Order: sequence, then structure tokens, then C-alpha cells
Amino acid sequence: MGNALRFSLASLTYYWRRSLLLGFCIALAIYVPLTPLWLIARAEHALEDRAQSTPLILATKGSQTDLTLSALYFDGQGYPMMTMEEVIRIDGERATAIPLHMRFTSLGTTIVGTTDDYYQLRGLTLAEGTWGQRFGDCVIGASAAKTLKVSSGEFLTTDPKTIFNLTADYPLRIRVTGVLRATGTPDDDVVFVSMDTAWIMEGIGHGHFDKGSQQETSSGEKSMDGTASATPGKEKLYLEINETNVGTFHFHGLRSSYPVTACVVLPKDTRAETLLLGQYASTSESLVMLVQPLGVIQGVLDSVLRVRNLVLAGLLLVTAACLLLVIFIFSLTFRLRHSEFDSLAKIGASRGLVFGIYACEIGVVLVVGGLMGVTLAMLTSQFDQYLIRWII
Amino acid sequence: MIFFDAVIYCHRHGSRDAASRLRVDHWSVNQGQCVALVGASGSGKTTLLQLTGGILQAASGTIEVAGKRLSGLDAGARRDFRLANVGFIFQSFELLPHLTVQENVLLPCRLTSDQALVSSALKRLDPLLENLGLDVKLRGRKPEFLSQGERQRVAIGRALITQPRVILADEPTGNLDHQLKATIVELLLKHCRENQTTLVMATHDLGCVHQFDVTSDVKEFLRWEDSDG
Repeated sequence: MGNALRFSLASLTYYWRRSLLLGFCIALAIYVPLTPLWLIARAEHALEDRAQSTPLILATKGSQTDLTLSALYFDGQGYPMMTMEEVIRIDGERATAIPLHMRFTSLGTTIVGTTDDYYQLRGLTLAEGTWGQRFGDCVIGASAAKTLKVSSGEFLTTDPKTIFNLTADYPLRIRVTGVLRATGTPDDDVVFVSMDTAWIMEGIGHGHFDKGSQQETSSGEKSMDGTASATPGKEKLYLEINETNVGTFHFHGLRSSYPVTACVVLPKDTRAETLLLGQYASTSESLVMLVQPLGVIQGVLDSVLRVRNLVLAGLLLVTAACLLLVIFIFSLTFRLRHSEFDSLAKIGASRGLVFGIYACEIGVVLVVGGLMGVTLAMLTSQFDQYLIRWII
Repeated sequence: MIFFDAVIYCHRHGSRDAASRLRVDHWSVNQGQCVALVGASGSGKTTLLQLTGGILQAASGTIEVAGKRLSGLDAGARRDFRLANVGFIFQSFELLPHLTVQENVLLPCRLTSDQALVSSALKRLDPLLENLGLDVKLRGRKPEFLSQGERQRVAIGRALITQPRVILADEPTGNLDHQLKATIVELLLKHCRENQTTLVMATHDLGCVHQFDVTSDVKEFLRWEDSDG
């Protein structure tokens, strides 16, 4: 066998281009179907994990899929709001209610208004800085911090909801007090503020301060020390909450009427969950609905599964084509090299040696191609978090 | 040295029914003789050489080469016999393209398990390559970088490296120009005469046959017969 291996290695290195092509085909045949399958499986897991850790979501009646994706993946800027009253109505004995507000963005990154319970639910911890201490403070997800190039102590400004409505509320300049540790979940991609800060962005809460303290630098400009440089004569195009004016901020109207996008509901036990589900299912005139994200996600995945099978069939065709190409190249090569093997046999090579050379050449290509495929898959796995997030 | 008696070899032509029989009533070559084997294309020269070298097996009759009766030997025994006693030279050189000159010459050594044969071949390598006019710098080259003449010299070196008792050359000059033909034939004859090696060379080139001890025309002792299969 050693002799056959030496002959085959000499041949494979001599015909290196062909060997490389064959190896590449094998690598593709392994990589193409496995990596997407594996990535889809990981994405499914990620979707289910997130849904599983969010037992129930309460929000305005509408598409359950839209609501689930909005609440779990913070894509809910367009989702109809409900009032805080619905959140308050949830019996504290049965469940913990975590309101979510996500109508605003900063440079396209969603700003999520929520309570401290949310950080506990998701196990979010700080990589640097501190949690928000007053109105206008925020903590930022790891990816968002990279994207927006901000760190604790710097400032972000909310995107204006409309650039044509001059009577609309000004954007709010918020202070980044901390950056969250990366979790590989959508929590990395958003900015978190308190519900009160979110409502200040809505214009429900406001402060009273003299005009002189609100001078414009430039809209959206970040300042390292948090102080805006004054340009006399020009009014600032954003609101800023600072140590001098924070005490003047207050809210008008009933808290129960304040807007909320959705509410994560954490029942105390299975019984409480069943009762809650029954309560909302039985009130058809209710303007809100209580959904189980896991069920919705599994429904979505069932649909995705059918598409996945279709894609898989396509990928398997690619694999089959690659393998056919390998078989074709091998058979063509061996046919072209027939005289070479014939000469070996005439000179005195045993049939076993000749077949050994065939087998070794095929074996080495399969092993090398397989290793290439696995290496490619491993390289891909280095970026799996990004790919899965991209898929989701 | 080579002895054929009432040898019949059945040759099938692809399909099951079509077959022909080659019959050699009697043919012999003495030890150390250099024989030019002539005959028309398809007359059976190559088949005769392959029967002599034990590549093909006769259906009946007696074939003796270098004192060994090949008729009763199995494929493995004939292979061992061939490696130890027979050197083959082919028209199209049949060098392995992925091996260097030296590796091609030593190819029989990689195929045999006879260590004595290998060690004596290794001792013979340098003088042999020198005799064949293969420069030291050519030894590491692959056949694709050699001229036609150099390739045939390497093929001859591969046939001679084990110092076989019989050299069977199947039109070794068929692909060479006139000048090279003469050189190669001269080289082969010189080596065989110096080492008392028997040479049977199939050739179409009647211009060189006068240099051989004997010229055998296959039509005088070999005939093809149609067979039902």
C-alpha cells in the first residue's frame, strides 16, 4: 500500500491543477449542502431560543407573526401602539409585565424603551460604563456601539420622525452611560433607554429651561464630554437633558394612557400562563392580544422548512453535479492514463498495485477535498453569529 | 534462451464470438543472440514479444525463456520472472510522466520485492546512465523536459537496470528520426553484446536489420487462424 501511495502522491502532485480542481469539487460537494443546513439549523435554534425565553407577548391586535418578530427582534417601529393601561392591567400576582417601546431610532438603530426587568430577563450585563441613572441616559448593545462608533460618555441623537413637520418634537440627545456585553442576539443591535426617556422622546414628558441653555451645535453631533458648544443666536435643533435641566422634566396626563409597543409577559407558573391566555382569548372585544412567540415562531419555521427543503433539493443537485464532475474527471483521467497503468503492468506491477494507485489517488483527493470542505465550514463558523443574525 | 513449441494463443476481438488464434509451431533464439523481428503490421510481432515476456499467456504449447517454462506459471510468478529476467522497451517509451529520469530508470526496483535485485540495480545506476549518455543534470528532470532521444535512452535504462537476461524491444525506434534510430540501435546492440544479453527487437526498419545476428520474419513461423471463439 505504501508503494501505491507513493505513486499516487507523485501523480497527484504532478497533475496538481487537476488534483486541486477535484479537491475543490469534493470540498464544494461537502460544503454547499452542509453549511446552509447547519446555519439554518442554528438560526432555527436561535429563533426558538429567543421565543422560548419570551413566554407571552401582549400588544395591539394584528398579525401575530409581525408582533412576535417586532417584539423579539425590535423591528416594531411601524407596529400599532397600545396604552400603558394594558400593561398595568396585567395581574402582578400572575405575571411580571415588561413594557417595550420602540418607535424611535438613532442613525437607523432602534431605540428600545423598557424597564430593568428586561435586562434581567435577557441576562444582559455591561461590558463598560454604568446603567442609566436619569432621564436621557441609555445603554447600547455591543454591535450597535460598533456600528454607531460610540462608547460610554458619548452622545446619540434620535432621528427626527419627520423632517417636514416643523411643529413636531425635536430629536432628543441621549447620553450613552454603558455598553452591553455581546450576546449574539438582537439585543446587541439596539439602544436601550428607560420607558420615561422613551416617553420624553414622544413629547409626553418635557422640561422647562431657558432658551439660552439650548444652543445648537449641529444636529446629530456627538460630544465627548457631553457639553454642547454654544453658537449664539442659533437655537439647538435637538433637546438635551443635562444635570441643570433634568429636575424640570415631568410628565402630563395619566401614565396609563402613555404609548407602549408591546409587553413581554412572564407568567409566574403554567397555571398563570393558562389563565392569562384564557383571559385574553375570551375577550373578543379587547383591542389587544396575548400571543405565545414559540408557537408563532414554530409556525413560521414550518413554512420556512418547506422552502428549506426546496433549497436543500437545489443544493443537493449542486452536490450531485460536483460529485458527477469528480467521477467524470477521474474516469477520464484514468482512461487517458490507461497506457501509463498498462506499462506499469507490463513492466511487472501487480494488479493489486495498479488498483492500489487508483484507490489511493481517489482516497487522497477525497480526504484532501473533505478537509478543504471542513476547513471552509470552520471558517464560515467563525462568522456564524453574523450569518445567523443576517438570516434572522 | 527462448523456445516456442506448438504454442497457441487465443486473441479475442472485443465481442464474445470474434476471436483469432495465433499459432507458433517452433521458434527459438539462442543465448546472447540479437534478433531483429520483422513482419507486416498486425502480423503478431507484439503478441509474440508479450508471450515471450509472460505478459500474455498461451492457451497451449510450450514457452521457455531463460530456462524457465512460462506455460505453467500463474500471473504473479510470470510477473516475478519478468521483473528478474526480462527488460521491455516500448515504441512510445511509456515513461511515467510524474517520475524523474532516475525514478523512471529505477521503476522495476520499486515493483519488485527482491532486495538483492534492488541493491545490485542501485549499484549499477550511475555507470548505466553514463553509458546511456544521460547527464547527471538530467536525472532529476521529468520526461516532459527531455528530447525524444533522451526519453528513449531513459526507457532503455529502465529495461537494463535489473540486468535482465532478455531484452524485448517493441519497435523502440518507431518514433525517432533517422539519426537517433541508428544511435539507439547501436546502443542496444553494444550493451547486449557486451553483457551477453539476448535481444529480440521488433522493427519495421529494414535498414538496420543487417546489424543484428539474426533476422526473423514472423510469417515464417507464426500464423493467425480464425476461430469460433
